[in-house]
Amino acid sequence: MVLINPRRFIQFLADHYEIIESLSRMSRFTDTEFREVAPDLDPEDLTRKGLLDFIPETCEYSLHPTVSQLFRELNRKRHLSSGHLTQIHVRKLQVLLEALDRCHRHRMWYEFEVELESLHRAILEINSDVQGNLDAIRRQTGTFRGEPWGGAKKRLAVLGSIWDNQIQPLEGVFVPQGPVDAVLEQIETLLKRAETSVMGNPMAEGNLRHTYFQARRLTRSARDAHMEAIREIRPLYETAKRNEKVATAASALIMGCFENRKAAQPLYAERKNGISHALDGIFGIQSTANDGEERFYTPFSSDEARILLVERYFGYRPAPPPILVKPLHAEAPFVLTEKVVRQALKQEIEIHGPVLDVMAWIIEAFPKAALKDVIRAYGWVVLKWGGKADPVRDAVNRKSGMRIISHPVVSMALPRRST
Amino acid sequence: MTFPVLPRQRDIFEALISGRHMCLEDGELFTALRDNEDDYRALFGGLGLELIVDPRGFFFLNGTRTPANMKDILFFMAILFEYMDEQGYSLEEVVFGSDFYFKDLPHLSHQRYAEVMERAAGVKTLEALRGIVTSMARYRFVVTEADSFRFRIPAHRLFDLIRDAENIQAQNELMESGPDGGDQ
Repeated sequence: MVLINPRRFIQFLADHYEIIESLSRMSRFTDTEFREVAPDLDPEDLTRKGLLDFIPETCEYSLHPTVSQLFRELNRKRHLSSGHLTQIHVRKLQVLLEALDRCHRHRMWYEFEVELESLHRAILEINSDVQGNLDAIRRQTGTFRGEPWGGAKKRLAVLGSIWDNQIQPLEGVFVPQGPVDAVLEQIETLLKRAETSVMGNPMAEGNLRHTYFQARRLTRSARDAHMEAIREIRPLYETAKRNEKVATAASALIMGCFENRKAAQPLYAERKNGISHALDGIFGIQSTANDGEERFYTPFSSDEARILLVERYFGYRPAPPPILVKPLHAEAPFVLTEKVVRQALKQEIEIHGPVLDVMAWIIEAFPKAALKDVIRAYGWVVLKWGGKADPVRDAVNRKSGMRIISHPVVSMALPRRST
Repeated sequence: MTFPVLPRQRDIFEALISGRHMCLEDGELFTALRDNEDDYRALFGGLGLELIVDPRGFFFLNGTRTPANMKDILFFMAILFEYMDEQGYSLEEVVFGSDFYFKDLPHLSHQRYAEVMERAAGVKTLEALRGIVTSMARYRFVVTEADSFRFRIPAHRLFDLIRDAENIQAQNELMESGPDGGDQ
């Protein structure tokens, strides 16, 4: 185990930022994949330094969870996160409160501390999301206020996307007496009760007070950031809506001037309704970060991933996966082939013994088969493969009225032909 | 029926009755009008005219003359808006925050726009283009300088005008009426 010098470790991360960020996007990677990203580095060396973890079962590497977490947190503040995600965090507070209450009632103090820590983290995440959104919105609106950018339709698409995804979903969340206030109130009540219960334990008391004050401070900060984001974006959004209408109408007016109006119409229609350029804005928000680096934010994809992540860690139970190996004949082809019928028949006889009613068996085994295929299959079994009667078995079964058909593949019992 | 003499009554009356729009930029005239809005509304109402107070910060009289070259102004503005939008500018921001130099206007320098100006307004020269701007200045939508002009707050009405003209059928009718407009 190599003793890691924190300063050098951080310096290494800074010097290889692009590489580490690329790796942080990959959950696992092979030696070859690693060398494609970082040809000058040795994965084993990085594993020794504690940056990578080696997974012997699959001979793959992954970024050390601490480093991944660090990058996720750093990147989160640079990205717009969905208001729906924040809503999930708010709901999560409610569940955590219930868990806290349960721990308190059963005097499970260790679990209580764990839940308290989760609660603290959830509040931090809410604040971090809202603050991150405010930063991203400010960067974006700063871009709009500066140099020419994109035209009315694209501006409207970007601003509309921010409004619909980041602002609108939180409408009502941060209002006085809204869900966040309700949660805060419950935290206060619970913590006061819990404080009484752990009297005499200075550390526990301190943690409780700390969490409560932090919750108050952070939610107030999140509320302020949200309101500030609204103040920042609303006037621009309203202006963009007006400008888009004017620009569209202006183009329509100009188009109307040309004799060949039919030819001009699609251009007008594209301008009026088209989304070709606007889509760039909807699915990504180009912005210049503080470091001057141009980035194309993709709130949709990153949010989806995060929502899934949060849901997963938040008691989400996915639906059972589809059954890949289906029961025999469940996907019987509509057009039966000899091979399929022969194989199924062989299996049926091996498992259940002779087939007494061939037609019934075919219908049951291949429910999706058309009537003509059923008859054809019946023909294969009875006429084509029926072969010669086995005199021995035929004799044995004579009394039962059955006829045993001997076949290179299978033997079967058939009703005796009337002669 | 007698009306009290209102502050700057004569100047305000003359300005509004000739179709001008008044905003904060007009200084004392505007404040006199704003501070005596109700009295002025009654005054003009007595004459069968409606004083409009636009919430965006300007006054005008409804029912006064429409510019004879309203259609020219319409296409002039449409081209300016489309061009500015194509350049990536926020329209309200750029229109109210810029000086426009005649030599830089796209109306005659771009073939497509030049065609529109000729077809719709019969404008082929820079002088004719200046004429459109001068007529806008009469209504105080713009302030002109020797080689440039800038828009005043009442130019919001030009935005409204374009927005309302979106109906293609209306445009067609407008086109069929020919290049000459007329006083209302």
